[in-house]
Amino acid sequence: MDLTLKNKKIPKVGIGGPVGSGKTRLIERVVPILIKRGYRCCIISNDVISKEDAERMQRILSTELKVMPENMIIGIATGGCPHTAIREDPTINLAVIDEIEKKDPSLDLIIIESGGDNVMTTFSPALADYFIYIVDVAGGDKYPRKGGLGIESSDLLVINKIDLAAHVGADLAIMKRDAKKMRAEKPYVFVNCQTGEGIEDVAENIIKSILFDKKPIIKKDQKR
Amino acid sequence: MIMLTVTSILGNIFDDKKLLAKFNKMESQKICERLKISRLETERSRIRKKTDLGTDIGLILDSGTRLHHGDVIVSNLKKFIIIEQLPEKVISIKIRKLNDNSVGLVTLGHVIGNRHKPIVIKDDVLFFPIQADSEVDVFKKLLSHIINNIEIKVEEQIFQPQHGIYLHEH
Repeated sequence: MDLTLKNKKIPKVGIGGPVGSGKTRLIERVVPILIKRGYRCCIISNDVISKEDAERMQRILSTELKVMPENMIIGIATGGCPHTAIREDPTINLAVIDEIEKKDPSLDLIIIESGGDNVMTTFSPALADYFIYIVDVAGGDKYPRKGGLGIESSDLLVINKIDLAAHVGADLAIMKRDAKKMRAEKPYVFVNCQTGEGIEDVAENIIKSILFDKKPIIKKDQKR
Repeated sequence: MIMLTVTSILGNIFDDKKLLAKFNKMESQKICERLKISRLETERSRIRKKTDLGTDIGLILDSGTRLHHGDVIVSNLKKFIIIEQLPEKVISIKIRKLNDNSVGLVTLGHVIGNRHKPIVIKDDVLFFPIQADSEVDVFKKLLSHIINNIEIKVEEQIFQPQHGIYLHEH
């Protein structure tokens, strides 16, 4: 191991966005791709009063797809305003991360899902090294140009449910134009989390920007 | 192009005379590169970005390290790369005749703190960042009862929050 890297932490990606925009589904789609490439992941899911999302991901990723153990998917019921648990006071999340880092320091990535919140969602830099903000087209094509911390400060903007655009009167060309204008050179991706369209792009962005194209270490006895 | 990994900060050109001299020398030869980052990114310990001259940089710093405008991240015979923090929109509030108005000062702190804004105070002027000009009207309204004692302006600056009173420092 490179000695200059011995005090460095496991890379962390935060995923935020409004209720129902597809945060959980995005994780369920992108994690199997990362695992297939050899990266070992852990997921922390923040919910307001339930642990429903964590339980669903355990069912899909552990029980059905068998890509990761159940104890690598952790649910946190934050209570109160969900954004505070990732922005102003991420103490609970930091405590969980600390435990994970002690238990399994060789993990490649920790993914933190926020509870559904508004356009001002952002992750404290103490918590996440990379911030993905997800919206869906059903909220209207006005969403990207209205701005807000999520749209403007995120490292990757994901626009989900593109198959619904025609049914809800949302013009993808307008969303593309506005996303470009609001975000300057920062990337955005159009996806359909149901079919998997565009998800490879999200995985590529994570691998390049946060994993720095690091080649995963695959142990001989590691089950794939 | 191969990514250049940076794991520590070498110093800051505004604090270190030797680094400043090297910066001036490299700058005169037009080989000084700048990694331009936003204020939010100054708190990150992991960033992948290209410099203004196209060098691919991967920063992996100890967690809790904060980047500053003028930090030197690469310094060798061929390359000299510094951090350049991008300027942003801020509101400045010049406080006049508030010394005998503690209620007014508390209100001012309450209104700004309630919006989770980091602040900088220089002499009798208070600065905090905003995202859009439209926020100015909101603050003027919220501070309407002390508006005659303050002067509100919008300007662009490299905003460096004061240590210890910054929002994200827990």
